[in-house]
Amino acid sequence: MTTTQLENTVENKPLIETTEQLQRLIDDLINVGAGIHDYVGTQQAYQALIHRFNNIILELSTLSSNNLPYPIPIDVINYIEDGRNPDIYTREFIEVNAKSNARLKGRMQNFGKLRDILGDKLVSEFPDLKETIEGIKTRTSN
Amino acid sequence: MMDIPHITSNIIPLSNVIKYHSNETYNLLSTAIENLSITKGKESDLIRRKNLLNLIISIRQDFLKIYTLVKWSSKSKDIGKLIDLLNWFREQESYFDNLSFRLNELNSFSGAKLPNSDLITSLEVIIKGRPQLPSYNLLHTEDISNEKILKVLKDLNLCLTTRIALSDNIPIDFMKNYQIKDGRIIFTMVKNYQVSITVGNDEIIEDDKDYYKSPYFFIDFKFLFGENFEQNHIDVPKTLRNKLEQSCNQILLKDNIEGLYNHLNNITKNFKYELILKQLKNLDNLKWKHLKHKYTDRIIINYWGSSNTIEISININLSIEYKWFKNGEEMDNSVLKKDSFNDSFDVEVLLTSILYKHSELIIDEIFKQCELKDLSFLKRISSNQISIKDHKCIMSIDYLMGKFYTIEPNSLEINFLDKINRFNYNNDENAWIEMIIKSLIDLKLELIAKDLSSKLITIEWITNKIIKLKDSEISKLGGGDFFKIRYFRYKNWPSSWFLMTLIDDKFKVKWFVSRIKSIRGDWRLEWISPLDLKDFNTSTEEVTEFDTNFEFFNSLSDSCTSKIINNMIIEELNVKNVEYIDYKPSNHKLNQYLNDGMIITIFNNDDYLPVQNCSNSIFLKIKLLDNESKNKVIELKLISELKFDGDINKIKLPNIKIEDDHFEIFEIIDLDFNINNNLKQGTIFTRIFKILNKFNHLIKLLNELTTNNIKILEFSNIIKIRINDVFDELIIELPSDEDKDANNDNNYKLKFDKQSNCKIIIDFINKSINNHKLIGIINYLNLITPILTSIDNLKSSINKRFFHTLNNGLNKLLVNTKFYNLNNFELLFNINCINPQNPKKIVRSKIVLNVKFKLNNFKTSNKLDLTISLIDNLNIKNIKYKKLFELIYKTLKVDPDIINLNYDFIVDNSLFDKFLQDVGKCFINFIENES
Repeated sequence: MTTTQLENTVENKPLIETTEQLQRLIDDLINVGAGIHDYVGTQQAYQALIHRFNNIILELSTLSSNNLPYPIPIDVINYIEDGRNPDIYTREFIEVNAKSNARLKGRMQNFGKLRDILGDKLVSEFPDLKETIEGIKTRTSN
Repeated sequence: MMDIPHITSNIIPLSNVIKYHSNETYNLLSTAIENLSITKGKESDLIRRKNLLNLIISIRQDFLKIYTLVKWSSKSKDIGKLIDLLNWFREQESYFDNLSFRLNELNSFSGAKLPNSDLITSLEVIIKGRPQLPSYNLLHTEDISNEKILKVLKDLNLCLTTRIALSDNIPIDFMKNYQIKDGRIIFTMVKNYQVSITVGNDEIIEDDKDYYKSPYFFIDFKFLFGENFEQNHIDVPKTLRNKLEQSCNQILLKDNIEGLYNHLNNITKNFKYELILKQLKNLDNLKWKHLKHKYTDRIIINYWGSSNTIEISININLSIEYKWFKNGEEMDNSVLKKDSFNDSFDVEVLLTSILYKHSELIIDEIFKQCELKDLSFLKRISSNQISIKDHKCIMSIDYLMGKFYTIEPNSLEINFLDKINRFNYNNDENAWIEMIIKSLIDLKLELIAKDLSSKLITIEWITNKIIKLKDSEISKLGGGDFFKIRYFRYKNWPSSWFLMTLIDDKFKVKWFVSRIKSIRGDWRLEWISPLDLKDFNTSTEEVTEFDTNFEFFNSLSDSCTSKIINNMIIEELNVKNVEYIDYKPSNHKLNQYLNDGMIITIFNNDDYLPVQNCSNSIFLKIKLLDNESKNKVIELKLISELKFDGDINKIKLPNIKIEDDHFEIFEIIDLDFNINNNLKQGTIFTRIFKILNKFNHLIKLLNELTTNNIKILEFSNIIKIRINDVFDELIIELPSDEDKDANNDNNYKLKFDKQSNCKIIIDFINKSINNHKLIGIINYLNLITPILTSIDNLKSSINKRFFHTLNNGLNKLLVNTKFYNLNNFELLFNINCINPQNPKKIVRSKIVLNVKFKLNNFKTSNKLDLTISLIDNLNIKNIKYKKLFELIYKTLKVDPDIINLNYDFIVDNSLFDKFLQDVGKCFINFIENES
């Protein structure tokens, strides 16, 4: 799963619109840049440039009015800001989660075993405590 | 199932990001476009376009990033879930971590072990004596039996005895006195301390190397002396006791009994020092406040100043010793009769005895020094008290302060005490003693002086405290090293007269009568005379000192006054250059002598009286008259023989009494008045000598008169004599007493009552009387009398015969006399005639005959001739009288006795009458011829 393509789903619809708007805006910016670069001072060129600026402002206005309730972690913004691929962030995050999950599972199982062994030992040493220890075992196992 | 908690922190909605960027881009663009208008003209078009292009490119870059973000946002919701999940994992992991810590903490329950009698606990019991377990004393232990105790003690005794016997290193002092009992060794240092030690087992140590195997242990210690070192026992102080066991055990472990011995000796020594210091501290602060002490390796106590010290030390035998340094010099302790302190030691007792002894030694020294100086005016009252003989005040040394004091001292004694107590005698007590003796002598002198002063003041003498004579002047009086001089005046004495009392270093009073004057602030002794013992004592016994009894004081003023008067008399006689012989009867009091009449013989060498009429000695008798009034009155008498043929009784003068063969001039002088009012020399004899002088004068006068056979008409206050018929009653006026020039011998005056030429002559004589003796005057008067008679005869003959008068009644010729002096007079012939040109006018002419006395050297007799000169008439006016002059010359030349020298004629005195008659005739003839 990469970000090169957006699946045409309902969920992604506002995002697709936004990407299209952004594409237009970037095109306009290129055009404006070209206009400026090639600006000869004629009335026609001037009018064309004004028109393009107005388009840009119009597109900016449209962009800002979009409602996009997608939560963006600041770390991702920093990633993109630094010119890195946000998909790497995504991948690393998934990996960290997987590792944490595995470790937690291991610890839960080991401590369960320790509980059982310690409980058994205590029961053998202090038979009076058997009930209590059994109670603890039941309450703490799945 | 519980929901996983949702994380919202650090998560921003995408719209916010886009909105923020859009706004930001818009702002950037509008700013850039505004900048374009502003920078137009300022920057080149190219730059402006480039700047704008750069902005557009950067915006495009940003939006490309936004584009990426938007694309990524499709997965954002999944990522959000993963974030929540990871957060939950971490939370769970922390729980497991905590669990691990708790489990690990179970290991710290080390005390929770069971007290089984295992091997380790057994070891603990062996090493530490008991297990490290709390004991609740639930188990009962059996008491040790008495038998066991006794056995252990016996074993210990035996062990200790053996060990002592085997040891070579026990100090002798310990070996002398020890006891082994009750399982311990008790060492006793008599009067110092007792210590008990023991051992912990019954091992017998034979070699010092093995000592560590069973060292001794300290058990008990006590001091064997009391607080004041008496026999009682003092408790070991708590602080010392607390440390003692530990320190002793340490030392015993290390240095055996020898170390213990040294250690305890040190402790005892220090403790004894502490006790002494405590005693010093406990001394009465008020009483001993001048005491200073310090403690270094011994106790040094300073008293009475730095040079006197007492050192208290504790010697090697732990007994107390002291050293006394008096005035920096160590004293033999035997002087105190207190050598050691066997029974008890009291600092106060020691101090008291030393200080008291010191006081005693000072008094001893004072007496010793006085004895050396042969002074015996002091009396010892007790060991530390002295007094001056004949004086009630007792001076004692305060042994606490080393200062002198007296009870109820008077001002003199206060001065004395102040002086000697303030004396700073650093390390030199002898100087102090010297000074005390000097001060005592001074005090004694002062006391005598005071006593004398008060006696003298009582009988109206007045002290004078201003006079300060120079040392050189005082040394003349011979007072010795120490003396006191007091000056007194009697109430009616002149201001410069003083009675001086000098008390010398043998305390004898010398009396002087003196005259002291202050000259420019310097007091000078003008005259001094010691009072003579003879003046007070009529007995024949040899007396060396004045008996200052009532009689002495009673007659003192009289004696002094007599002395003064005597001195004044002698001095005045000397001033007057009177040669005299002072007759002083021996064995006779001076005042008695004056009261009876003192006689001085004055040598008369014709100065006072003519020797032929008098003896060559005149007796001056001076007698003090003791009249009712207190004023001193002197009667003076000048007595001498008188030899006179004539009627001396004619001389009648006040204050002179003339008997047949002697005369007496007497005078009474109020001495007080004279002394106090006339301080000039010559107050006593001036008047009586004046009277004598007058008497002398009269006698001489009388002598002259009688020898020249001048008839004396009267000789009393007025002297009248008759010289010849002309001067038949000439009065000689004597100078009055008040006349200031009374000393002048010939200052009498002649007086002649008749108005005539004689009167003029008398006046001339009076003017020049100083140069002539009376007899010369009488001779002159005898000489001039016939001349005067001749002139009178001429005048009367001319005036009678010459009745020729002018129309206006004026005489044509008039004779007058004019006296210039006794030697020179003129005869004036006035000729009046009528002017032929003007008959109304009268012409006056004057012919002068100048007459002088002249001694003719060719004549053998001393008779005077007369020179008559016509030279004054030699002028042009008198040409008309040529005939007259020719007539005079012609007439006079006829007489051979008249000598003519040009215009002068020299005539013998006896021929003057005839000469005048001849001249008169010439004038009469001339006038008659003229008319």
